Amino acid sequence: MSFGLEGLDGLFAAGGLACGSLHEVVSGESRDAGALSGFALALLARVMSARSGAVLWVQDPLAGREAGLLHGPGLLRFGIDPARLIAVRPRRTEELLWAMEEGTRASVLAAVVGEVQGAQKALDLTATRRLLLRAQVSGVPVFLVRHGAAFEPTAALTRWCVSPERSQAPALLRAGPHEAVGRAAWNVELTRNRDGRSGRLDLEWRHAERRFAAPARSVALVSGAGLRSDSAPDDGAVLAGAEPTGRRVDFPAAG
Amino acid sequence: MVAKIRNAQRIICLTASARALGLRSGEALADARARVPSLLAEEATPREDALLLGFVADWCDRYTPLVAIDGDDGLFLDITGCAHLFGGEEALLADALDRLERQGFAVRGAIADTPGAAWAVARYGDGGSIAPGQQEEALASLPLAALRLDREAVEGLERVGLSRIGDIATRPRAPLANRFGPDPVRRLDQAFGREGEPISPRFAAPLIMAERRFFEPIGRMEDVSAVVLSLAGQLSDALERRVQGGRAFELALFRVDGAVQKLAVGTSRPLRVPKRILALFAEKLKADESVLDAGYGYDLVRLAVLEAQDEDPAQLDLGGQGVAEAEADLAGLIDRLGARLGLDRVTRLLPVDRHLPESQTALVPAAVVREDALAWTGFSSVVLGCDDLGLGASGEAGLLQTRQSSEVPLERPLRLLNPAEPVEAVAMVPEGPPLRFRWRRTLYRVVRSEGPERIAPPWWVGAPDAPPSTREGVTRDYFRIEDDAGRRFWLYREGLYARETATPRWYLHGVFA
Repeated sequence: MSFGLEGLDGLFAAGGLACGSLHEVVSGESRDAGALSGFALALLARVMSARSGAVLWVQDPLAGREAGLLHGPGLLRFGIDPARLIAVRPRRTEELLWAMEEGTRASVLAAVVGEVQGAQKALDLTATRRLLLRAQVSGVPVFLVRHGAAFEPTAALTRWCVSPERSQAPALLRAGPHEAVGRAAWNVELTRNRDGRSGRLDLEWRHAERRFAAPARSVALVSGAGLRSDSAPDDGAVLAGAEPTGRRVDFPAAG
Repeated sequence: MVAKIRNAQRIICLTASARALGLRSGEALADARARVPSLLAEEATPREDALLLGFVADWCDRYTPLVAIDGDDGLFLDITGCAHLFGGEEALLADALDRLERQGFAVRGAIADTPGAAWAVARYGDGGSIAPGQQEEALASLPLAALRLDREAVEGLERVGLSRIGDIATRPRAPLANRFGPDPVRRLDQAFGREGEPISPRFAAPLIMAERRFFEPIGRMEDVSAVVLSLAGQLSDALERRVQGGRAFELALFRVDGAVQKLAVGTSRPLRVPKRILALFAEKLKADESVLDAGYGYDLVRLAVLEAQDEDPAQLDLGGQGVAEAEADLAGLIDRLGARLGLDRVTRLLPVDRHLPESQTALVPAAVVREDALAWTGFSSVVLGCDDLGLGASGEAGLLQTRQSSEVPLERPLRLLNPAEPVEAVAMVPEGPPLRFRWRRTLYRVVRSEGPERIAPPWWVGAPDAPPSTREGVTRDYFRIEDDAGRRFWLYREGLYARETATPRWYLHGVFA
């Protein structure tokens, strides 16, 4: 499955993300839930346009409380049809793993997503290996979304560590003291990739086209080869705010 | 047993040996103690008694599905059409009383044409079975209290010398009703079958059921599974004759010691394949192994269809074999997940046409939702309609095109915190965006913002001049903000300055990608 962005596809020997496999999307801090779920949902949107069928979204109750529940209207704008999601809310991690395994066995599904908060004892190397093996048999991509657990042992094929990134404000749009908020953007570090190289890059999500893009100032650092490849904006869009820290304005406390 | 009645500890229930000493129920405990100093008294526990009666009622399910609880200490069983399974009415009654006595209960029972007559004979007569149409003779010599009349009515009738049912049964009805109210006459009619009296069973009778009894109790799970599979086969035949499939099944396991264990599963589409029915129960059992404790074994296993639905044979050829199979696979997955986790934990996101963001997404059980109810595309036109995209009459096709060609900003968060979490915010007055805020004990500095987007409650919620005591009644101004690390949040200020509140509060309601 292609990411729609050359710099990202190039990190993989297969030229894109392997479908029948386990991928981990993690964040270092649980307050980065927005960035983490955004990137996971962006991957999911790519998968959902490539594969038909429903998506099983299994959410651990703690993650639901900490990060919130999926919001249909928001998903719709982001490029995901909420009607294709089946939200499962198990009570315990064992049940979550069981539900994910059951889902992975059903090849009618487009993908299986499991979302957990923090480090979980039950979610160890063995459990992830089981998921990986099942995914390889059925061809269903499995995503494990882990809030605030960046360094847990895993058997996953890839691991993406997501942190938030300032967005590029649309030109000429100012509201009050601030510039407007732009497209979703993240800083993503591919810390583990058994199917290619690891790397770190800034990504932007073009939700209307459902593809990843490199923001204007992006600097992709690819480890291994030690290359430093500057990707220019891949279309002619005018992007303002090239200097991200120059516009910070402090206001006296009012009220 | 004693309980507090009219400010005194009174005896409400006593053993046969206590009764032999001349004690009576209703007597004050102090008086009784004075006469029998060695009396052992226990406080009554009505709640536990009711619970126990419920268990006994469950147990009585073995005789008939129609079991009703009567007061604090009685059960009505409608055994119409069931008695022959136990070798006749007398045999059924004897079996029930014998088994209950062996469980340690003191029981009395009677069978009659009407609930009223059975009640009277069981409590005031000798019990046993009353032949059809013989109620009048059987009840004639019983006291009036056997008619389920209240104490005042009984006392009133006794004062004029009427103390037996036979005394009033032959009297003219009109004067009786004039003087003592409609109750005695009505109860009389009910007992004699002149007026119908339905009992209210605890559960509706299942549509179809199959059961098997064992002389020797079975306890191994493999045996139980085999029995369930064969029962499911019987149900499947019955369902096939009706061109139906089951939507809800119940398995009842009757243990020899009287405990009854019940398991219920639901399905997302009509089901009648025995193996899949068994598989659902197997998932349920795996989920909570402690639920099933075979103890000394089960002597009766019953499988029932609680809910069935017409199965449309035509659906198999709609859209080709592949689609139908995929649908069946998905339904099977939802059923398996639902059987183990509970059907309400396997949900779909249903669009709800509401104004407040938190009520726009409903999580409904995937097993009950219809696929066509999940049309989010129709929903988006409602929300997107407020953008000046020039949709107008172009409708759905135009909308889709618009979505593809131009980019609608991500103005709704991916996830909503429910409920919204209060934050301490520093903002520009009166209507400016927040500049800094503290959420979950961490300070965030706002560097970009968009807003306000005003989401007011519907006008029919809360009066316009009423104080904003209810949260629903207050206008919210939403801001999309980004902090200096790039986290994007959805914050709102609750209440309009001056008009609705003097010190507006801020809430964090959602997170963006």
